[in-house]
Amino acid sequence: MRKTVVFTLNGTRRALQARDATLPLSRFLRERERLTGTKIACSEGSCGTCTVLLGTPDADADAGSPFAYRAVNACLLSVYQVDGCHLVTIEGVSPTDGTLSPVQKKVVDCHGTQCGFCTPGIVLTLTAAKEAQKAQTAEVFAPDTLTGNLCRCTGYLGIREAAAQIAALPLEDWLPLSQRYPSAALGKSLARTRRTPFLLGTPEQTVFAPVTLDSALEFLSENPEALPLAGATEINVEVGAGKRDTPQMICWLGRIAELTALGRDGDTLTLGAGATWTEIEAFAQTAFPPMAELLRKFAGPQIKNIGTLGGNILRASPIADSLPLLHVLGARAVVAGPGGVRREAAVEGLTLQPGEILVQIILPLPGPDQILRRYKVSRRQAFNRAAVNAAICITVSPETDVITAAQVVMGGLAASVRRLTDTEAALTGKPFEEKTFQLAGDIARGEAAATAEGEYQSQLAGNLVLKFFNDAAAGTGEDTQ
Amino acid sequence: MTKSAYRRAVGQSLPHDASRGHVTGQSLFLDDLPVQAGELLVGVVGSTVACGRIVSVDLTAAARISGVIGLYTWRDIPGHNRFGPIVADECLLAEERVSYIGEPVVLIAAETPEALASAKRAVHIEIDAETPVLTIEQARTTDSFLGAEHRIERGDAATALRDAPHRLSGTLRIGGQEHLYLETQGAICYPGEDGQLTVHSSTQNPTEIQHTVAHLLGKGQHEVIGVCRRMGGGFGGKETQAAPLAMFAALVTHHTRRAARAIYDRHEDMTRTGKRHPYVIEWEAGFTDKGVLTALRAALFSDGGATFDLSSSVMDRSLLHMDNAYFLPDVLLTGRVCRTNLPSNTAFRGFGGPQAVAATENILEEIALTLGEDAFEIRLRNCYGAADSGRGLTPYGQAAEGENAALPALFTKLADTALYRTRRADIIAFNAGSRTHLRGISITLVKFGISFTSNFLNQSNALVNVYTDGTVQVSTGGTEMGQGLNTKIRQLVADALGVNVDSVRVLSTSTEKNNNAPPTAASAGMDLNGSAAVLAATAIRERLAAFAATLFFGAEKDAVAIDPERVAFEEGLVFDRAAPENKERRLTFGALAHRAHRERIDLGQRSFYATPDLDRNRPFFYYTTGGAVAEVEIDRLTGEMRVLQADMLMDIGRSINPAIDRGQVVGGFVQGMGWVTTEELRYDGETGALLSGMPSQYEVPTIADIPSVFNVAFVEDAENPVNVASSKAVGEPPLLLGIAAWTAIKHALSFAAGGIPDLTLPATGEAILRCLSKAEKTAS
Repeated sequence: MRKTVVFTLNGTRRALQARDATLPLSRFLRERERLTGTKIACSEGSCGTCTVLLGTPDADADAGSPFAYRAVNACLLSVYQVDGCHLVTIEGVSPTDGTLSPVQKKVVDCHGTQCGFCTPGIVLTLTAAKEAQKAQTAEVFAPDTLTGNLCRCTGYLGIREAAAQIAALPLEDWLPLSQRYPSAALGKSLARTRRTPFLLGTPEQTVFAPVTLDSALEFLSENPEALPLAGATEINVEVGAGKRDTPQMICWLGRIAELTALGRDGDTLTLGAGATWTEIEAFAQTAFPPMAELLRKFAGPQIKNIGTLGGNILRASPIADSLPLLHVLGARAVVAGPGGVRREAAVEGLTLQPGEILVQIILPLPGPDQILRRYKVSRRQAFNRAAVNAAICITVSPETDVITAAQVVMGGLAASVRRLTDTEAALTGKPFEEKTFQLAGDIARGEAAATAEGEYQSQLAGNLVLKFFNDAAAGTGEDTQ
Repeated sequence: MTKSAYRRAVGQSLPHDASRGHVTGQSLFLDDLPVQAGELLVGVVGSTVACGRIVSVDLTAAARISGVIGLYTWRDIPGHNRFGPIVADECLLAEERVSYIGEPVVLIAAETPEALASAKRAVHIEIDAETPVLTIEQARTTDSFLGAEHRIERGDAATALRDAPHRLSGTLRIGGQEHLYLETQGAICYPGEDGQLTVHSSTQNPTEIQHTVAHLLGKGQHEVIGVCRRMGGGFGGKETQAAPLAMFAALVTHHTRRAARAIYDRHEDMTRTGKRHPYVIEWEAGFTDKGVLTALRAALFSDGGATFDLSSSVMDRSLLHMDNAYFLPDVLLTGRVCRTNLPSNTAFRGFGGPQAVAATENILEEIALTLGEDAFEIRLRNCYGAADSGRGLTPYGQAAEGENAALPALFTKLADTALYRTRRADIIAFNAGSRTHLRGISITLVKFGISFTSNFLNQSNALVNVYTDGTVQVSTGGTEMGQGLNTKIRQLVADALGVNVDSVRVLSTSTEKNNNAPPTAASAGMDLNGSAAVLAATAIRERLAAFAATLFFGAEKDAVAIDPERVAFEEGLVFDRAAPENKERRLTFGALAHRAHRERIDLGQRSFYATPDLDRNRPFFYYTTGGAVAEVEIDRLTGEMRVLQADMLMDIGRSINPAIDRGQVVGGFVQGMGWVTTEELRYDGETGALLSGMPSQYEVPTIADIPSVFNVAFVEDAENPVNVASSKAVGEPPLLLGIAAWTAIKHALSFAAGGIPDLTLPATGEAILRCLSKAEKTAS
């Protein structure tokens, strides 16, 4: 079994033993590599100053672009999570001849930097966006490209202007990182690395990274105390904040290819539990646009590049943004247990037994008679936890205009995402008209008040039922919120 | 070389002088300094309760942890534990009592982060908890105040109120604001010879670092050097509250003779340090049928937190800004600073001005709603007039406008260019037609007084060194926190010496070079330090001009011809102004510097600047003014709000660097917008624990929150001849224009039924929804 973690850092190979490989990536870069351009400002993924570029080798790609680069938060990752990747920091995007990269130049010229603490992160996020544009994985910069990077000085206007100019730079003038670090061989080599498991051991911690589901299940059977992790976006935050001790044993699922598959089978989507939100968002653009829309306000890009569907489901936060949608559509979970035995269960109410791994989500798409809307009410426009989130889906008989079925699920009202059954009952069998929703809204308000923290949340619960009607009747709300 | 071709550096939109370092990650912030051999990490264990008496401190378990080098309490302080910028009422380490959650009690020095974390958990502090005072209301009930009442009075407000045709009164509750500078507070102390210390600090005030560390350790100030290369944001939060970190590090270095690094993590920073002061403002206004104010009485109560810090100066500035841009005939303003069991609140961009201005803009908005008039017209009628108009004097006796009535002109210009009237009419039509959304628009002003209200702080000094190759190093008492101070000083000095900006470097701020400087604050950093730098550079230039004159004209028989005035300094060249093409009378600045050095002419200069002509009735050197229009949209069912458009117009005199000033204006507006909308400090009402103690729980604006249409303009051909390069200070004033977003929300809410909306500040979605549902209940 491999005992080292292997990756390249700004073009240079690193092979690390467990001691360094279990550090948070941001600390490794600053303390061990003296790459202090990676800043630490919150250690919880809510500011983007620790942004680095994670280059994933694409084994299928032609020699031109062996890596796909994504912006990620170095504070959230442990070093071992970059195994088999090419990691690029701010030091690695600056041209070696002392000039500035086009992104750096635009940020300077547009006065997009003041104190400078957020700037390396901004430059790297914009670099990742331009790389994606060059690689034709994104046509233009997404509107939420920079929502994961806070700046407290500039008011963002200079940064916004720089981003617009960078987006407009002719692609032929963009020297991609794959030319700066020209190694198809390196990409192939790292891709091979990713296909071999590793086992790290320090006195405090054991980390096993299997590459097949079977070996993961076997490890979990033998080590029931092991904590299965995928994106692991919260573990370093919780350990750093003293909310939990460092887990003694981790089974990291990030290199199991069969957990990440995305597919469509007729009216059903199959979503790998280990797929990142970015992967799902790209897939859903055509497969299920409402889900892609949901993901726009889900989190900053850096989080979406790491966090997984399975993690969001199993963490079961009271405001997990994916859950209301999955619940109203009756999503099913495929779970693998000891010996590879599979079972299927509803996502709503799902709990895993020790030794089990969530493999896949089966998501039935809404039919033509169904109306679906989802909402996320938060303080700011992006990159924010929900006060209340919701998904409402009703089936309306085209003949009678009567609601034949209603699904109302909301987060932020209780310790976990909650189905409002009284509200559903109040809608079912009623005509699709405003009065129905006014009454149902009152019921939702009362129903929510039983568990909600404050009047604000229960009022939102009621109002979202009304808002659903407004949007459904007017055909709006598809591409807002 | 022709004169017309010469472009001065001043007035050009040069990029920030550190921007290359910023975009390449090469700029050094405090924690980027390399770790010295033997360097220690410093951490703090604080109080777990907001108020109580320390019963015992048990360090035995922590002391046994491998890698823990020292554990210290107040008894280990060799000099003075007590400090404070105005009143020495703070303890670096708590003695018998604790007065806020997180108040430092024990200091730990450790060799590794792991040892430090273990030691923090192992320290046991037993405290007898007492009932804390957590709000302004509780403080008023229990008579818990810091200092005496502040007061500004003119005329007879009581009589004027009684005689007023109309009266309105109300209470405005205003929340605090977390600075959220991206770089947290921190300091590193390095041991020197013979007990001397050098403290690098992320501070707006290296002089205070030097003074507090010396005081703490019982040393002379000459034994300590305070240094700041740059801050990753300050916003006032590092004016006084950088000092404890420096003192922590210095105490450890003092005891261990090892370098010591004390840096707060984000949660420690947010929970332990002070913020913008929350205020409660009770007001009563009298006005005419036309909405012109005849009288104002206002009682301001701020939450000062546990100790004075700068709270009394903050309250002074509040009272001095309650008028904002409007004439208040008969006025009585009183202010009390409440003492609560929260971290001591401190300076934050605007320094008490924003709270007072929010109150006054709110009053004008309410008058407009009461009279059913456009709030812009009401504000215009209340604007200060020219000095001789009878409506030109502030309540404290300083002329608001001088010769001309610039404020109404600025106001009208902004309304015209932003199409305010058309857009307001559109909004009224929109609101009549929409069941789902409400829009609102508002235009507010700012008139911000420039100078420290503590007059002794209105001074600074600069050191300019010219080297024998003609390059220049400049050091001033001012610190760089992103605001572009160094960039502008570089431009000023380059022009004063006639050299290219690339030949000029502005260095770290250090008490070794610039002694007894004020904090870089009050928007005055540029005025004070830029003026001092120009004095120094000009003195060197005059010496060089005299020397060049002897070189150029010394051969002439007539001694009168040796005229330094004829020596021109432009673009790195020195030549005879009367004959620019004469190669005999022309050399590079570097060559002149070299020759001057050979002739033993001093190429260095330290200069001092003090703002002239300030007194009790003229606390401000001048005012920076401006206006903003904000348009907002509210979702009636969720209370969610977005600012759709912002239009700003500011008079910043003759800008030294328009791009940098624009950055300050936009950044200030957005920070102010955050304060009045999404940024809410939430506390546990029983314990006083901060519930919004991380950036994920405290929502500063993201790039998605700024208005999609954002126009910024400066008043053309503006001058400010009293100040350096005819410029004006710009750091704080635009923050107060963010208030336009709040009054626009109030305007939008006024379209819902239910009379004048009772909106709190910040206007979070929750607060907006509360107003909307109240309106709904009134209507039904």
